[in-house]
Parts: sequence; structure tokens; C-alpha cells
Amino acid sequence: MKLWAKTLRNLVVGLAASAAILAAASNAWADKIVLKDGRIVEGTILEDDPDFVRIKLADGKIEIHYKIDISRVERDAKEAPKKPDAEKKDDAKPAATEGKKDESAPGAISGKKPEPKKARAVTGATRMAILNFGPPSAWQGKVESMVGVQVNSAAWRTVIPMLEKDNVDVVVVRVNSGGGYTFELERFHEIFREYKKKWRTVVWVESAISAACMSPWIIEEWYFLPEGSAGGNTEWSGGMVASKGQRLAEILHQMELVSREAKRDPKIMRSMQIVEPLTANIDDQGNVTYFNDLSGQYTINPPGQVLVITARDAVKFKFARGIAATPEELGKVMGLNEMVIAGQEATAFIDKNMRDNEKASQEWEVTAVKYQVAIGAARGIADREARMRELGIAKRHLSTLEKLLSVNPMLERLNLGEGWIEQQKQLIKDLSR
Amino acid sequence: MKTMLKTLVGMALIAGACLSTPALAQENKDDKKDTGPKSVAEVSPGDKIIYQIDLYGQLGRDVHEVPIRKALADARQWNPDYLVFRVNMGYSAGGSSLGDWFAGVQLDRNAFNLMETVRELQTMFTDGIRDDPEWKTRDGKKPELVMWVKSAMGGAAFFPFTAPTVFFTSDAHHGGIGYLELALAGRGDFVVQQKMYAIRLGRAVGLAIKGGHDEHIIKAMARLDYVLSVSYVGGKPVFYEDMTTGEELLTDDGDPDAGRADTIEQALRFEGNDVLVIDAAKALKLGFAKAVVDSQEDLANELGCARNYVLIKGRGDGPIRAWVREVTRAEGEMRDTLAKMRRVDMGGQTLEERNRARATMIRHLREIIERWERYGTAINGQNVRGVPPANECEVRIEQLKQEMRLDR
Repeated sequence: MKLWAKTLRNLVVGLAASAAILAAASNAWADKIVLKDGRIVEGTILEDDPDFVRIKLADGKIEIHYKIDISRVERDAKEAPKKPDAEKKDDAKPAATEGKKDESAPGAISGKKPEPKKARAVTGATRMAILNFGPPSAWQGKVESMVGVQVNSAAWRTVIPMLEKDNVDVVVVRVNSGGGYTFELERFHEIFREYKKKWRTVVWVESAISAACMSPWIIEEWYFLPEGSAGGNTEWSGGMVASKGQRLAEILHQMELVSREAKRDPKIMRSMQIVEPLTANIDDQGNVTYFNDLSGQYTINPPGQVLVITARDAVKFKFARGIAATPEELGKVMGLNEMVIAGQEATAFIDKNMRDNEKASQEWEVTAVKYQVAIGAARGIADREARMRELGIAKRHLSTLEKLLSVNPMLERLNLGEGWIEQQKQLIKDLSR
Repeated sequence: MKTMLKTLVGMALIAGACLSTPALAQENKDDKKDTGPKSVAEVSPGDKIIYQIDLYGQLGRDVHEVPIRKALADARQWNPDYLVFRVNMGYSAGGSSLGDWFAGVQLDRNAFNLMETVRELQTMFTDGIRDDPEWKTRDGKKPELVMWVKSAMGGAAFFPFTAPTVFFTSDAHHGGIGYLELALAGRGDFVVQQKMYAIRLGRAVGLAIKGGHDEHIIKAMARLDYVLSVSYVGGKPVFYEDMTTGEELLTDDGDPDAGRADTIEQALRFEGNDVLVIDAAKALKLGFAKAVVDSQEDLANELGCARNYVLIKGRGDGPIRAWVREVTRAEGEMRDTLAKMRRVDMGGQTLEERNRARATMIRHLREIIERWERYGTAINGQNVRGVPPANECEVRIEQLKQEMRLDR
């Protein structure tokens, strides 16, 4: 498993500013959400969940703002929406509580159940789309899970309109991948920022390793399958050579910034990237404080090791909000009263894209060698007719390679270097003379 | 991490290990032949149905998606109350066989690679059964998954963790996945090694959690530097990640300077404590196994249906046996084809002779490609040494065609 080292641009901290203050022209839009960054959002509150507020703006657009970002909510007395019955929880606490505290107990799945809620005020069941970030293990290993190859940001951008068209409310990024190329990280971060603006976006982990952990790291809300594990984010290349010096400093800094944006302690990611211990204290209110040394009461990652966190620990130390084995359980731990699976077109597209990329990747490898066989022979043939015959075959293979790029534009860059195909076209031209 | 400096004694045969020569996998010959009903309709309503699938041979080759899927499809139509997997698999034979010895420690380097196979296979009988509305007992419930362990060593050690109900035979052993943190010794940077170990152990722990098992056990099985002691409170184990707090030491740190490194003799007899290998007694004591059972009657008794059960067995083995024969035959054919390829005289005197040889070679290469495509990961690389992989065959075919074009 290779990670691609590259020079990073500076990552801009903070949320992108949008049209923050909306005109409150009429009394119909009297509710207000005052955000911690000073912005005020006015409209009609549709749902006041323990973890988020849904508000309809003057232009009809619906936004979701998480309680962790909200300073206060002001409601017009006449327009107060129906609230779910669940009691409000501390922002710092997960929506679904952790499992049993007895560590020797067999895996508790959902932990304490949330208080029953009333149905959503306006639109009924929550529409949840589950997109596979990497093929689930149920695919029996038939498709690889490389970030940048089978799992690529282009596909995740393509499905945005499909999700919008299907009126999805929640997008679940179901992760099962052993990692891949770090050049995809920033792209995924950008895409998931867009997702978060449009939908409640959560991560659901089967196995989120390396680049597959770092890509969705920007999403705040994480859940685990019982078998889930996440971490192991050491960047390396070639013969298991770790990134060092400037490159290491860059990638550590990049992920520190992403951690802060996701409102997550950067020490967790740091312990996943380098050999650094991670310990924690849990106070009486359940707040977790992390340390990159041994001063905490609990050892999450011992010295001399790289952190991969599993489901029970993830919930215990408030890294994840809950454990869920099925979409139904996930809906429950997310605090959803009613839930339906939606976004099937997007799900199918992502799955097909992974399969197509798998085929393309395998075909690329063989076709590139076949091309070399043909062009190599053509170079050494003096007889023009024979040379043109080989060039014709070389052209055919090159054309196949070009078609494969339409499935994954990165194939060229990953395997032969950017611009290689154009170079070969020129070479064929030159040899044809 | 303490460096293990021991003189290599040499390779040793471990009981229950698989052979690397091509052969039909070992079957469980000690069980009764199935003489029971031919369909679920013949089973009395009050009887419980136990469907048994024997897992034996080489994980990834014999125990493979294709036969497991077929076995489960057969099981499904019996609406079993209990789906029992009898595990009788030794160390892996793909790569390092027979419980590899590295610097005097028992290290199966392939074990954690095969864990990925288990991760995938188990989805068929855990999530697959859970999510299939047609998979149910005659009472409309889901069948209880049971692991019945005779030998689960090396990569097979991950199987017992996937079901909440586990039984051991009295002579069972479970483990052989130890010394994980030595598997990549000498390769690459330390931090990358640790990353690889952490990923593997994290996934293994995940399997244990999913199966409802305590993660301390699998950690103690895997890492030499993981120390574990246990006390028993009300008969239940309470684990401590140190060597002294618990009343019983399960695994120490294997420090040779402190005289705590296991000897090879101890490891051979599963008597060491550098890493955890559990036998029936320990499995019971640690709460990992519910009981020790040596016969199907005992098993039925422990499942609470000794007086009224029907055992369906043999049908579950059929797909595995058939698959093993197919794969073994395919491996043999590939070796034969390789031998034929080596006998082809490519240096014919005439163009016609040379092209005929090339055409023959192309035909042989296509046969090999077809075998690879059909049996893929089930093929044991050691059994087909020298046979080129499918993509190399394709390139070779391209070269031969080119030779035919250019040889005029």
C-alpha cells in the first residue's frame, strides 16, 4: 500500500464564509440561529434535534447547523416547532451513549437507546444515503480499495447532484479501505466540506486505514461497526520508507488543521501518524482529555506503537458517537426516529465506479506492457511496412489506455507519469515518418 | 520490543499442520456419516436441526468463498436452529508452512494475511444470515452460529472469534498467530512496521468484538510485547494488562535477558507464555469456550437438544470436497501445461514449424489463463511453482503473436 508524497498547499483554517446574514423581511422568518462564529441564520426552524437544528431560509433552502456550532437559538413564540421528546445533551457528548463500561462484557452494540422522539415535523422519515468508501468485506476481496484508484474523489463529486435530486437528508460515508494515495486527501476534504453544507454527513467505519481514515477526517460525526477500526495513518512509500523531515512536518500540520476544523483533538491523529503514545482522562461529566504522553489515566495507544482505534475504545473515548451493525441500528444511534434508505442512484454509481476502476486498473497494467512490446519492436524495424504494422498495434493499445483514463484519470499519473500518453502519440508520429 | 536472539534450531513439524504437496485436504473421519432425513420436511416439528460444516484443509484454498457459499446455500434450505462450523485447520501452507520458525520463535507470517480471508468469508455467515429474511429457523428466528474448535492455528485462529458460541474438543488448540511484531523485522522503517502491525491487530480485534469476544485474548495471542494476567471473580475472568496484578499470568513479555523467553520445546508443546495459545481447559477458564465436547452427542447436549435433534452433516462438506478436488485438479493441470510448454521446441528450422510452436504455446498460455481466472486466489502458489500469473501469460501471448508477424 503506497502513499503518494507531494508538496502541499497551505490549508486555510476555518469555515468558508457564505451569505451569513439573511434578510428577515417578514414575520414568517422570525426564528434565529446565532452561531459561535458570529453569523446569524434566520428562517423557520423545522426541527430542533439534540444534535442539530434544521432551518428553512427565506429562499426556501434548508440548512442544517450542528449544536456544537450554535451559540443560541431564538424562536418566534408563534412559530415554535415541535421538538423531539429527547432531552438535550451536552454538545460534547455523543448523540448515542457509549456501550457498557464493563470492558469484559461482550460487544455492546448500540449502548443506551436515545429517548423516543416524535416524528419529524414536516417531511416524515429521514432519507439516508449510504455510500461505500471502499468495497465492503462482503464483496469478498474482488475489488481493491486504494484511495486514488478504486476510491476516487471524482466519483464522490459526481454523485452530488444525484443526492440532491433524491432529497437526501443524511449521507453516510461507509468506510472499508486500507488506504492509498495522499494526493486525494485535499480533494476529499473539499468534497466533504460541500457534503456537510448540504446534508448531515457521518462516517461509518468498517475499516478506515491511512488515507481512508484521513480523507473523511474532516467529518465530525463518526460511528463504528462492531468490527470497526481506524488509524494507522503513517505515510510511506517505496520499500516501507516513512515520510520524514519536511514532508512529515507538512502532513502532520495538514492533519492538525483538519482535526481542528473537525473539532477533534489533533493528538488523536498525531498518534495515528507517528509513534506517539495517546492516553486520556475522563472526568465525572464524561469529558475526555487527551495526552500525547503517559500522563493520562487510560492508555489508548502505548509507547512505541502507531494508533489504530477499535469500536469499543472509539466510543469510550468519545471519538465515535456509537456502534451500529446495520443501517437500522445506525439510524437509532444517530437519534433518527424514522429512517428510509435513499440515494440509491448515487450508491450504485459509487459501487459501479469502484468495480470499473478495478477492471481499468488491471487492464491498464497489461495493456501498458503490450504497448511497450509493440513500440519496442517498431523502434527496431527498418522495413517501413513491418514497422507500420507494429505501430498500428501500438496505437490500438494506446487508444485502450486513453479510454481507461476516462474511468480513472489518475491511472496515467500513478503508473507512468502525467503526459505520458501525449508523449507516446508523438513518438508514434515520429516513427511513422 | 525485545529482540529475540536465539539460535535457529531448524524447521519442526507441528501437529495438525497442512502439507504443501498437492493432496486432498484432510477430512474429519471420526464423525458419523449422515444417514438422516433427506429434506427439512422429513424432520419432526419438535426436533432441532443442527447443520454442520467442516472447515479443514488450507484456508484460502480449500476453505474458500466458492464452497462456503454453496455449503451455506444448502444449509439455508434446512432452516437449521444451529449452524455449526467445525474448525480443524493448522498453520497456513501459502508461503511459510508448518508454523514458520524465525529466530527460534513460532511465526506464521501468513497468518494475518489470511485474516483478510476470514474477514471476508465471515460476512457470508454473519451479516449474510442476519440480512437475509429467508434465512430462518422453522420458528422464524435466526440460527445460532457455533464454532466447534479442534484445531484453529495460524490464519484459521480468526474463525472462532467470529461466532459468540464456541466449543472446544478436549485436544483442541487455538492460536499460532503470535509474534506479529516480528513479522516485518528488518524491513523498512520502524514506524511503518508499527503501522502495519497496528492495522492488522486492529482488524483482528474488530473481528473479536463483532463475535462478542473479549479483545484481550486476541491481543495476547498476537503480540509478544503484550502482557496479560487474569483473576477470576465469581468464576468470570478479569484481565489485567500487566504481569503481576492478576492471580494467573497468561502472557509475559518474553524477555530473553530476564529468562522469560519460551524455549522451542515449550512452544512445540503449546506450553509457552510469550504469546497465548489456548487449549480446551484454558478456553473454558477464560470464558472463551462454553464447554468441551468431543462428540456430536455432547455437542447436542450442550446446545440443549440432546433428546430431539437431527444432525445434517456431509452435505455441508460436499461443496468443500468438490472444490478441493477441482482446485487440486486445476493445479495439476497447470503443472502439466507448464511441463508441456517447456517441451515445445521454439527453434524450428522452417517458418511453419516455428509458427506452429508459437501457436501451441499460445494455446497452453490460454489454458493457464483460464485456470487462473476460474480458481484465482484458491490456487496455492507453492503447488504451481513456475507457472506464470495470468497477466504475464497475456503479455507472453502478445510477444508470440508479434514474433509470428515479424518472422518472415
